[in-house]
Amino acid sequence: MTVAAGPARAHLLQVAESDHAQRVGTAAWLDRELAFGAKVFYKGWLGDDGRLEKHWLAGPGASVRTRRALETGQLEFMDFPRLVDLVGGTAEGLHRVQAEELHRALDEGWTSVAMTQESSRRPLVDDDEVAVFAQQEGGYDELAARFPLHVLCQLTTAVENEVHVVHSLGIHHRDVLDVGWGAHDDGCRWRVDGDLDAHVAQRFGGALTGALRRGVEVAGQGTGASPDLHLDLSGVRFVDVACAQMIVLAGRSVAGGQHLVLHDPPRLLRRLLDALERPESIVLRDPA
Amino acid sequence: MTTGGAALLHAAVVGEDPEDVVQLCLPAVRAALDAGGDVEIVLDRRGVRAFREVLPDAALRLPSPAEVVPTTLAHRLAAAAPGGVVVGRSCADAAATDREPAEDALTLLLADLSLSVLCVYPPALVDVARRSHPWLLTPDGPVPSPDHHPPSSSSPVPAAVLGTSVAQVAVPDGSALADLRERFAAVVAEAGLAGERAEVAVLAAHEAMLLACGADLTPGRPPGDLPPGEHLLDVRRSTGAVVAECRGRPRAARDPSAADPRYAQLARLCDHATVHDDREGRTVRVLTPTR
Repeated sequence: MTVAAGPARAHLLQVAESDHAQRVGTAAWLDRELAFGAKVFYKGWLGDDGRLEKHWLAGPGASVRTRRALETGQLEFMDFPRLVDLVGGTAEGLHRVQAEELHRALDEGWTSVAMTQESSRRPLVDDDEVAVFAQQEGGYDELAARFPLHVLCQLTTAVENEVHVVHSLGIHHRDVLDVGWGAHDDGCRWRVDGDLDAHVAQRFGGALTGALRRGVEVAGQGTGASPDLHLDLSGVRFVDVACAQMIVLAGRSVAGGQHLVLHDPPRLLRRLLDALERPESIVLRDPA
Repeated sequence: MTTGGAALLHAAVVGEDPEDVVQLCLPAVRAALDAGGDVEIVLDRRGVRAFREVLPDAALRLPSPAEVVPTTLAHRLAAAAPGGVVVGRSCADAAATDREPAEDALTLLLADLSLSVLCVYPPALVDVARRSHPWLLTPDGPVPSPDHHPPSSSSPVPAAVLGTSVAQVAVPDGSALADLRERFAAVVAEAGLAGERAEVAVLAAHEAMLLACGADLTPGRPPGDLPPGEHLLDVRRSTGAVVAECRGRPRAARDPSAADPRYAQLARLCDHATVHDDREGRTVRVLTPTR
């Protein structure tokens, strides 16, 4: 996992494979948000003793600016069990808490607001739970579209099951920062960069499925938009057979009439897709 | 761990007393007899008598030790029927200069045979026994010999063909695949390959490691990650080629046949690919010509 450079993204999923790697990325994100003057709300897990002093935010893993922000109130921490009590386990409850925090910060005069939460450790045992999870994350999207809000969702694969990881990538596909690869939806194309290999194939596949599903949903809202997903691969350095197979599997499972349009694919990917019997729903486009 | 598996078990049996030797060998011998395999005991009169006392009615073959020449033993056993067991001490009794070459020949030439070759050594030669055998037979069964260092060509590919080792990369899990690619790409570039040929070579090395580790690539299903383990890439370079030699330990042993979907993909990516399974795991080599 690498720390994102450039402009902050509105609702970013940061994937890490260990707590340490997650903290490194989150510390950099926090430092930047605080430096730019944002009020930051942090949702996380405290240890059994429930003491914030034991959390990494209050220790040397965080920057001096972060520790000072905890003291001044620029950074507020909420333990997950308390959050669960407040929201009552519903998407509506979470949206209410998010909106209250946002408006309180803006009323206090903060010019921008940032929210982040640690990996939630939800098993996502059935479709209902997945749907609630998606609704809750959708609340962040709605607020970020209307207010100066940045959201960092932390996904630590070491503490989540495979189902959670794959669905989380699907729900957050528009902005992903994973180990060795990332994705960003610029409104026209879904841009993927980095190395796509067997190690991240399931996660890439989850994000790709989410992006395709989103295309169908938007087209189904009567906007006249095409359901096709335009996948820009110009920033991809490497694709192996596993990820090529994920692309083919996604192409075979698209809704009727939907296409997966690959822009500027790496030259070896063309060979792999041909070898894997690329379905007609996958269209290859060279740069203009 | 059991004896008589799909590949050679070449194990040292360290013991002076014939009864001790029999007790160590008995599970493998009984398993072979129960499965209808041949059992050959190439020991002196005391050794044979000890086996006869425990297995009075078994159909044992008992050639005279004088008829078994250690330096040609591997060739003799190459024609053995699968599932058999051979117990002998011809190598231990050979001249010191012949002993280890004879054992290495057994390890190399019989690697793909389903055969158990149990070599009896006296305790005075325990160091030789451990050094020259991939396995040691213990009361708990066969265990890998920590002192055995197989030649790089522990498969039938001659070492001279592979070139010298120029880099080794440990690949403990899937997150290390990026390092594998980076290191192999550097060697490929040094060898003068560029452009698509270099990219294909790197992709082939990457896929070779996944094949060596048994990462799943079943058509129609999401592919699997590289399973954690002590996997190793050995990059070899000669004047005319770069070879990625990937050693892994697949959790589920499967035939490395051309029908394996990942092997089929790998074969499309390189000029030459070999897959070799033995008791120590799987070795996959891909060769990229540099001329």
